[in-house]
Amino acid sequence: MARFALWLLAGLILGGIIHLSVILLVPSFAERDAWSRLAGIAPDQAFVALDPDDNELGRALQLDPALNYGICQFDLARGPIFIDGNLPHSFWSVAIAARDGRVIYSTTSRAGSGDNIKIGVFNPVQSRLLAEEGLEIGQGFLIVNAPTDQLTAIIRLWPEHDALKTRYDEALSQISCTHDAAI
Amino acid sequence: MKQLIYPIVLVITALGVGFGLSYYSLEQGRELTATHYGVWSGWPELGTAQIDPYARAHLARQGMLPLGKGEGVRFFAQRDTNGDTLSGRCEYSVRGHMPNHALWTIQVRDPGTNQVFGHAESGQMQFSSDGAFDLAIAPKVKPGNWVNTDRLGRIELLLTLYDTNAFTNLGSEEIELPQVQLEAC
Repeated sequence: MARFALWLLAGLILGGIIHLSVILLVPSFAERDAWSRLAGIAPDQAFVALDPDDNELGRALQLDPALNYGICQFDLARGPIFIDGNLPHSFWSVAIAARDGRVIYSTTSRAGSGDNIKIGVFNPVQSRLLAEEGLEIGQGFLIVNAPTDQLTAIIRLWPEHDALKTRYDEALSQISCTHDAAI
Repeated sequence: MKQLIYPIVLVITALGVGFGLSYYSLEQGRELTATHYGVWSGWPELGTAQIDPYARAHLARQGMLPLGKGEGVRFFAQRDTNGDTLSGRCEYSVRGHMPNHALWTIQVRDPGTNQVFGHAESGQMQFSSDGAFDLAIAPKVKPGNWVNTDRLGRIELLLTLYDTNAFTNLGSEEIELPQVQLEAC
């Protein structure tokens, strides 16, 4: 009986190890995560407004129907990325998220930077080069240091009325998200 | 033969506990690691680097678009203040004050499919003179603030507070979110 209990205990400990491994590995292997779903939609080096009538996408990403969304996916291995543009005078927020769902940087319209966004996203090597070259950084330009290369920029924009939704989607599509820009 | 039984017990226990517990944590275990504010539960640390491994795994599994802590905080409610499961055939009142925010929204959705059936947003709400609001969640038209449940079965409420710093301060666990009370069924 004591031997059976010992084997059972070993099974429970091994089960605990399997459980912890699964929980830690799920973000790396999930195929239905936000990154994978957006990969087929987001064009290269541009913001795309998510279609509010796409029910399946809305359900999968759990989008808030009160907001408009603009998405840009990029890989810093190909160089730093520059996000630049004007947003309508309403509530908005910008987030830079890693593939595993961690939000590395976020700001909102209430942060006091006006309705113009200028963000440069760099990985650690690019940040070091930027510092070594001693480039003068323009006023209002935000530098974000990202620990990983594969990132998604997400802009949420609140239209006060439904009639503004189309106009706000156009404004989101106008925001640049490119590897080439002057700081 | 008897010598084989023990390793079989070990393998079955390990696989059952390991994968069973993982499946439960990812599919049903939201309540286990979430912070509770009355009927509402959520992970205020979800969008930060301090996100706990369970919340991160849940986020990846669910596939939801991440929301940075500086952008907002999301809470879910599947039960009313009496502890009963929310039903689209009943009438509820979401009443009270919201912590500081730039904007808030409440979505009524199917907890299984995440299909949203209706929503309310702070910019289009009527408030009383002290800043409180009363939102009816009901299958029939109600005067004032109202979201239609369309006589659905089980429903879930999803509250998102945008640009709030209420949950970053010490003592934020004392915050009271609006009550969800059953009015009629």
